[in-house]
Amino acid sequence: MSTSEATTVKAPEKNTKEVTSQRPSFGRTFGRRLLDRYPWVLLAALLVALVALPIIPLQTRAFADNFASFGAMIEMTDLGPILLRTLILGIGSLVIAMVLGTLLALSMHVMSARARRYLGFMPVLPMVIPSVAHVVGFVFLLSPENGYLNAMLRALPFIDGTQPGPINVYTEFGVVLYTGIHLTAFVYMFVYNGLRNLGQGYNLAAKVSGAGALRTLFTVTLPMLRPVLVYAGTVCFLLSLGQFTAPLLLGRREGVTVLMTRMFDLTLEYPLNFGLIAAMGTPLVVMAVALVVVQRRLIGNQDRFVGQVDMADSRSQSPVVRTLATAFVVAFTFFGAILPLLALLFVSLSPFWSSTLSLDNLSLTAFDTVFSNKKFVASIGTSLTVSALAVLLVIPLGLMIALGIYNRDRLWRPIPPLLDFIANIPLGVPAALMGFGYLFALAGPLHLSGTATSFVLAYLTLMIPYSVRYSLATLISLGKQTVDASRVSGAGPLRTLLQITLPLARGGIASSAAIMFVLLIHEFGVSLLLRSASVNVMSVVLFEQYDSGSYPQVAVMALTMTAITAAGLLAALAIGGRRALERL
Amino acid sequence: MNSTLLVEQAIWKTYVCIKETIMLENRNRKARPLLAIALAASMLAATACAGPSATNAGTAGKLAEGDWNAVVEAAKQEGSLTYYTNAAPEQNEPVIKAFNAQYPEITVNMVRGAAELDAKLDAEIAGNTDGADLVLITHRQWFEANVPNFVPVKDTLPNLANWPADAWSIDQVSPTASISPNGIIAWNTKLFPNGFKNWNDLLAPEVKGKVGLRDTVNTDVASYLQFQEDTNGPQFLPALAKQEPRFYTSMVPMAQSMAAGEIGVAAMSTPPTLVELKKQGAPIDWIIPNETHSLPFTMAMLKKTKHPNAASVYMNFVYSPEGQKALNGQQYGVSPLPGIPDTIDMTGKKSTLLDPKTMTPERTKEWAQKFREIFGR
Repeated sequence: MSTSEATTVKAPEKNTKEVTSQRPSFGRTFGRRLLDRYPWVLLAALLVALVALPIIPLQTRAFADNFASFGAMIEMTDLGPILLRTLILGIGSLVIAMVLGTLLALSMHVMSARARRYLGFMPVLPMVIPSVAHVVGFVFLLSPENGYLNAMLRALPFIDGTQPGPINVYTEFGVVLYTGIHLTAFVYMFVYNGLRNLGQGYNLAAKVSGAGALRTLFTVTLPMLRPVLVYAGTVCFLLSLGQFTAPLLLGRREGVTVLMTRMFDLTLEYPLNFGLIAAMGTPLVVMAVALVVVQRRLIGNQDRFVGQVDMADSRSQSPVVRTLATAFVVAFTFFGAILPLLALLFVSLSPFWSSTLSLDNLSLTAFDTVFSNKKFVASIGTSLTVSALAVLLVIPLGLMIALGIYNRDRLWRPIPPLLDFIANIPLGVPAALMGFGYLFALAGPLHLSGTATSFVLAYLTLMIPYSVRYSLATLISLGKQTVDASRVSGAGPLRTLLQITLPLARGGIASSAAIMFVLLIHEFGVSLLLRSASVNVMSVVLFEQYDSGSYPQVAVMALTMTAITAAGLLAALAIGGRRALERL
Repeated sequence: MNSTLLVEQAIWKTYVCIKETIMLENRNRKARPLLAIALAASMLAATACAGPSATNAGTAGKLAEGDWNAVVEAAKQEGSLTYYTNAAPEQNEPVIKAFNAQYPEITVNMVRGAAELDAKLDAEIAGNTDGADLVLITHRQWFEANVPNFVPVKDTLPNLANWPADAWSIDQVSPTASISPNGIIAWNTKLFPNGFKNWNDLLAPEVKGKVGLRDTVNTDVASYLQFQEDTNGPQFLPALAKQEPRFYTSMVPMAQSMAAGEIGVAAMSTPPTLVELKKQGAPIDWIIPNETHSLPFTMAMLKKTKHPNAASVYMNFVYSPEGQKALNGQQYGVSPLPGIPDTIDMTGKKSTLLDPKTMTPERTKEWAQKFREIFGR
């Protein structure tokens, strides 16, 4: 056996010798490989630089001077209580979000199909409103002294009308309530997806075996949803820990401080203690990087549902249950989204905010004042320009990274996983933490702090994960066939890209551009820390006005931001885009 | 984790749902691109109307040679100036208006801030970037630390030649423009019809849960707290803490909150805001107790200014009788110049002025710590 193998082995050797004499020299192969690889290496280097900018310099500062900053952090006497409070708020929000979200998902599930078509987007509507505007709306509703809802509740017979309240939005409860409602949408989407994937088989089997609807729910449906509930709960908890906007706007008055707002307070002190801020942020950054892997799987689960067509008939047989379900969804949307918007509208038309709901004295004065305020008008321009620029720049970048990831078998082995990993890091880092990082990195030798360029840079980096995901989805949906056909017909990769891939992906890119634009208008955490006297964006100007100005004007600004969000969404709808993108 | 992810998912869901139900895809195919173009055009128009943010292509910053008229002419050429302040908006606007009545060719950009101004200014000075030409703030600690970055003005501005010798915060460089009492008790007349007379009235049982204080202890606040301790004894602040005060990051929103009835009384405030609120019909009143605390507003010109002539003309105006009347009149403040009409009358009152020599950065930090201990924040 060995001899015959030896002979069989020998023969190829002879051929190899002949072949080697015809192969190009090592130098030329290396040269060609370099030529193929170096654009991708450059791309990866650019990506790493962009993502590392807000993270690495600040973190190295934490470790400077022999960990002096960590020492200072441990000496902070209020750190323990703050961490505890952050944890408690996180758990509270989690509970509210899980309960409401699951109830909403169940309601949606048992509704009639037609009701579901029209009400499908309602539970997520509270999140489409810009968060700063949304919180202010809640303040107008639930401020203990002047909130409209509180005033109405006080009129009820069994509530003490002489004391402020009964609901105080400025307390821990208020922050938990707001954050819970905010996160409900996410739990709803997750659980609803899970419910749909369960199918009707088990439910029908239970029914046939004689179980009533409620019994089926508790003994079959919910236990089977357990993995989904666990996933949703974990993500929700992590998101609520990184919450910034609600504690910042609601927590100052009565001292409800969480980790993020404490770090923000540090930026207001003089002189700025970057080391301490960095030290406080280190555990969050470590968690964020470690979570990127887990996140990808969670997002993967999440996306699949977005465009699913409803096949199974899951609606309840009882019209009472169906009506209740519809009512619940409508009620949630009303209290979560419509009512705050109405409150904003009412205050914007009033001379000053008080709890009385009289229709006299309504006027457009506040609108006049706001739109003649140069600072606010300039901030609208800045928001629009900076967001548009960032989106224009991130689309080609995202597309190139997506191409690298998509063609992973043709590229140099380390590049695609590196691109994939680094591109997703901005998803895991809390926005405010990125903001602190930029504040530190850009203030130094780069001298870029407080310029429009810094905003474009930051926004661009924030949007990289989204742009990559959208481009990747588009590429996947286009399939390899058209690309292969083009290559077979003789077009090179660039020509294929320009003449085949891009035109086919046009609609998807356009509507995802509109969505990214809306996301950047919403952006608050990073923008708050990048603001300067001369360059500011709408969400931050709104916050500054809330902190130091008249409430009707704050309401006008909030409504303007919401209107621009709606316009962006309309733009996305108008541009249309292929359904491909919806099957992300 | 990042909540932008949440928002993105929500927006996609909304987009898809609306698309599938409301916008039936096969209709209006032709209208869609037109709609998109219309939307894009309107957004561009909005951007164009809003205009680019105020960045001046700074002309070289050199003070004009020759007499004051040459400076004024050069100022008109420069065309604008920017100043940062933590004074209430109501106090700044009359000055700008009066200034523009005399010098309509020069635009004044006022940027108002609070505790974050110091860091912003530091960043600008370090980067030598365009931004503030003048500052008018009460943050004495920052002033003391930045003397080398200010332009000596005593000899260049005509109105400062005879400025009262005791009204210089920093000699040669920074004269006091206004003295603003912040030891004020301001109350909502609907909630407290009988009002307040002195500091100890704040400790009455009916005030519990209804009093407002500032947090974010910087030098101004630390000086005020020190004044309270010195005047009313070491037990006053702990007793005030038992009244469960509400906290605000700045005196202006605190005053607004008091006028709206969210709190009933503010333990510190600023006159211009109170005067304006009362003019608008808010049910408020206030008193400056016989023992009070004041903040000096001083102005300085930054060496990095790209508009030295415009800045000089404006600064000179602020220290003129017309400027002082605009800044301190209508009961907005106390003027170092004697005889300015309608300014706050402090006769018979003992006012402690913020002194950076005693309220050093270390003392401020001590007070920040003490504040956290007393008020649990």
